[in-house]
This record gives sequence, structure tokens and C-alpha cells, in this order.
Amino acid sequence: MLRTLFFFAEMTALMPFVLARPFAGILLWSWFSFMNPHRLMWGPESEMPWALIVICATMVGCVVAREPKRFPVNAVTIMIALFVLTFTFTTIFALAPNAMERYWATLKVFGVTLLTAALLTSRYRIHALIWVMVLSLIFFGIKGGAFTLLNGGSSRVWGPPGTMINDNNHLGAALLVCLPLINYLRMQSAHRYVRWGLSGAMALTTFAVVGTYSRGALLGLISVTLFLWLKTSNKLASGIVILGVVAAAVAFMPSQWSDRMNTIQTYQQDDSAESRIELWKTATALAIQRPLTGIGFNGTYNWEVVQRIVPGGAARAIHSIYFECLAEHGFLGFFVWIGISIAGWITARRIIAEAKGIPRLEWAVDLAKMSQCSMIAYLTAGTFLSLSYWDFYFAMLVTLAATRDQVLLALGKSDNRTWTRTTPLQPSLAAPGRAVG
Amino acid sequence: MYGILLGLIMGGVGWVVIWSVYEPDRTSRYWWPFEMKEAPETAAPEQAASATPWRRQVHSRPARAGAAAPGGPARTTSTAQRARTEKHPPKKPWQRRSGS
Repeated sequence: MLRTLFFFAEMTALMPFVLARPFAGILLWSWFSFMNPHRLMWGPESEMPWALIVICATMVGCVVAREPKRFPVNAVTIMIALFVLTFTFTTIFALAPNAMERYWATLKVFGVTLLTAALLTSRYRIHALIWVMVLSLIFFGIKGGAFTLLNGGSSRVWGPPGTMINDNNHLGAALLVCLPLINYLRMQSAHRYVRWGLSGAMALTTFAVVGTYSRGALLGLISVTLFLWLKTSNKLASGIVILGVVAAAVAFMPSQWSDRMNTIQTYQQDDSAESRIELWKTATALAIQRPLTGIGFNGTYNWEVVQRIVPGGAARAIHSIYFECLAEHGFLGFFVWIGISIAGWITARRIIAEAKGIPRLEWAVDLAKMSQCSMIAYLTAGTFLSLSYWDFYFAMLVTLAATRDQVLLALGKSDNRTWTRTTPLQPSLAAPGRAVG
Repeated sequence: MYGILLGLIMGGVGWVVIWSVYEPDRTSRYWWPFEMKEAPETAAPEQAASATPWRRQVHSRPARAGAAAPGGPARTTSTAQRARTEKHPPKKPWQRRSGS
């Protein structure tokens, strides 16, 4: 009851900030979207449409507040806008009767992602968004890690109900994506105690990832730790710490965990792994039959739809971000969707190349490197689960694009690639030596 | 334990929201656990222009006494004061000593 009161008081207190500064609304919406905190409350507050209230207040704030309205034109936002157009096109030809439900939900995710991109206009805002993203997931990382330690790893860690990451596999992948972002905040936080707290949270999150019993998450953990190590400057010390934490987590788990993980090597004898390969074959066959439109949202869950296109094919969740997108939107949609990640990767590489060796832009280099690690985590662990339209990942990519804009502004290379309703940036703002605001 | 963690996260998010709105300078960093290692020296001017009144004052505060705020004269000097200063500039020490 106390937490519900605290939650209600907090939301009431923060709402005026949303009206005055719409970016505050984006932060709150991100919190609701990534963590669903109201679901952890009791009473009528848990059933209230908080995300809708926040986004409506943000829209009002966008009109009322004197904020620059800019749509940042960069590779990531262009690809996201193209993907919105693509899945709108494929929904017209969708075969499942409930395709529109998923369409509106996905449109909302990408619409708010683009609004986030438009309001990420300073380093403060980028840092604040990363904090909210991390706080939203670190809760499940700390809680899951403590749970694993307390019960000796005998029970699985599950995600929050009613969210995109409620499944144990999904939660494992989500925590892996979050892990490098926690490391970025650890590297960039001014306060020693905050850095220590974040280091502890990283260790607990690693235990939580292992505690999900997800084989996809284990493969993701191996790749993300390897990549994290490659991206660090002090290879010996970081190697010892990373290896120590991962080895401790794996050694802590009971034999039932090891038995499950060992089935990765003998996937031919495992029903779960075999059925996934069958599902991927069905998804490919669906895309080949309808290469331009796919079968639309929710099509792979509909038995009649699948049987009409691929007789004998299985109808359920595809369990792969790649094959899910391929089946639902055809080859056209798949290439645009994968193009968003490619654009994000290229953006990160450019940030590193342009800002490396410049002390005041060290934060941007750190963020770019850690975002690359998060991308590796998503693209590896996502091979085995249906999380193609996860808002957290796309919010991270637009944050990366906003970081590059800040780098260009600081280096005096900004060419004002924005569609703006306000006065364009003056040349003096882009003068070298200016701190990134 | 669970309630404390949830309370910390809820409080943390609220604090981040206020921090992102207020954008404090380095002098008040110890109130803000989310402060970055290298805090920006000044905010982006397009933000200063769009800021709410209490923010605008923070952004336009001169870096040191006598220095003008970006894009205009120092707020501590009124137009009338400036006109008086231009008409009767302050005397140099040697001028005062001569009694003129």
C-alpha cells in the first residue's frame, strides 16, 4: 500500500514537469514501457492507463512548451521511418484477422521512438534517457540475481508479467542488452558510490542472466562478454574481472542448469531446439510464397493462415527476431528492419572514429562502444526468441544517432540536417571547443 | 528488501526526470547522483532560448563578474546603469589621485 501511495504521489508531482518539458514525458513513458512499474502496485493505480496519460501530457507539452521541434534526419531515423511505412504496407495485405491489434501497438512503439529522437537534443538528455533505460531493467537484474543467489540457482528467473520481456528467454536477452549500458554509466558517473553500486548491479545482473536457464541468453552472454572485453582499454584487468564474474555465475549454478545448457551441443535430440528449426523453415517458406508483403502481423500464430500458405507448417511464435520479421513482412520488410541495426552499427563506428582521442567527447566514444556490445547481445540472443519490435533496442539506436549529432556539433561538422520549425542553429554554436550541452 | 529496491528505482527515475529538466551546473553535483564525469560547461544555446524562466536565468548567468551572458548584456546591469557608465566612465586610480 505504501509503495502505491509513493508511486501515485511521484506521478502527480512529475506531471507538471511533463507539461513544461516534454522530454520529461519521454523519460516517464520509457519507464512505463520498459518496466511497467504500475503492474508492481496494488489497487486501482495498477490498472490505470499510465502510459497513455503520460504520452497525452507529452503531446500537450510539445504544443505548449517552447521546445525546438526538430526531426533529426540521420540513417537510423530514416530507416525507422522506412520500416514504419513498410509494415503499414504489409498490414494492408495481412492475413490474420487480429493483425491490426499488433499493428497499432508496433506503430505506437516506433512513433514514440521517433519522438524520442526529436527531443534528444543534448548530452544531458542522452545521459538521462540511458539512466531511465538502465533503471527500468536493472530492477529485474538485481532482483533476479539476488533470487538466484538465495535459492542456489534451482529456480528460473522470470520477467515482469504483462510486458514484452515476461518470458525467461526474453528477460535473459533484455538483461544482456542492458549490461553494457550499465557499464557505460559506471564509466561516466562522477560519484564513486554510484560507480560501485553499478559494478555490483552488473555482477548481480550476470547471475540473473544465467538464472533464466535460457540457452540463447548463455550464447549471448558469451558473445557480449567477449565483445565487452575487446572494447575495454585495460585488457588484462578487465579480462580477469569479466572472466571471474562469468565463471563464478556458471560455477554457482546446479547440475540441472548444466544439463540444460549441454543440450546446445546435442540440439538434434532436443525437442525444443528441433521445433525451432522447423518453425524457421516454415517462416522462410512463408516469406518465399509472399516475398513483398509477408503474411502480416500475428500471421504465424494463426493455424489457418499458415496452412493456407505452407500446408503442414507449424503455427506459433517463431522464436527468432530474424525469421519473425521475415515471415510477417517478407523480404522487403526484413531488409529494411535489418537496415536499422546496420545503420546503428555504422553510426557507432563513425562516432568512435570521429571522437576518439578528444577528451571532451570521451563519453560519446564510451557510449558508442557499449551500444555496439548491446547490439551484439540483441542480435545474438535474439536469434532464438521473438522480440523483433522491442522498443528498448530501438530507443538505444536513436540515442546513438543523437550522440553522433552531438559529436558533429562539437566538432563543428554539423550541417543542420534537421527539419525544424525554429531558427536553424547558428554557425557559432558549432564552433570547435564548445562543450556539448 | 524488494520494497526498498522498488522504492530506490522509483525515486531514482523521479530524480533523473528532475535532473534532466533542471540540468544543474557542477557546483551542485553532489545533490545529483546521476551527474556525469565531465559535466558540460554550458548548455546548448537553443535550449537556453527555449528554457522555462527559471532555467533561462541559470543559462544566462555570466561565468564571472563583469562577463556578459551569451547573446546579450549581463543581467546584473540594467540599461539605465549601462547608459550612466558610458556617459561617466569610472575613473582610473591615477585620475582619482590627481583630484580631477
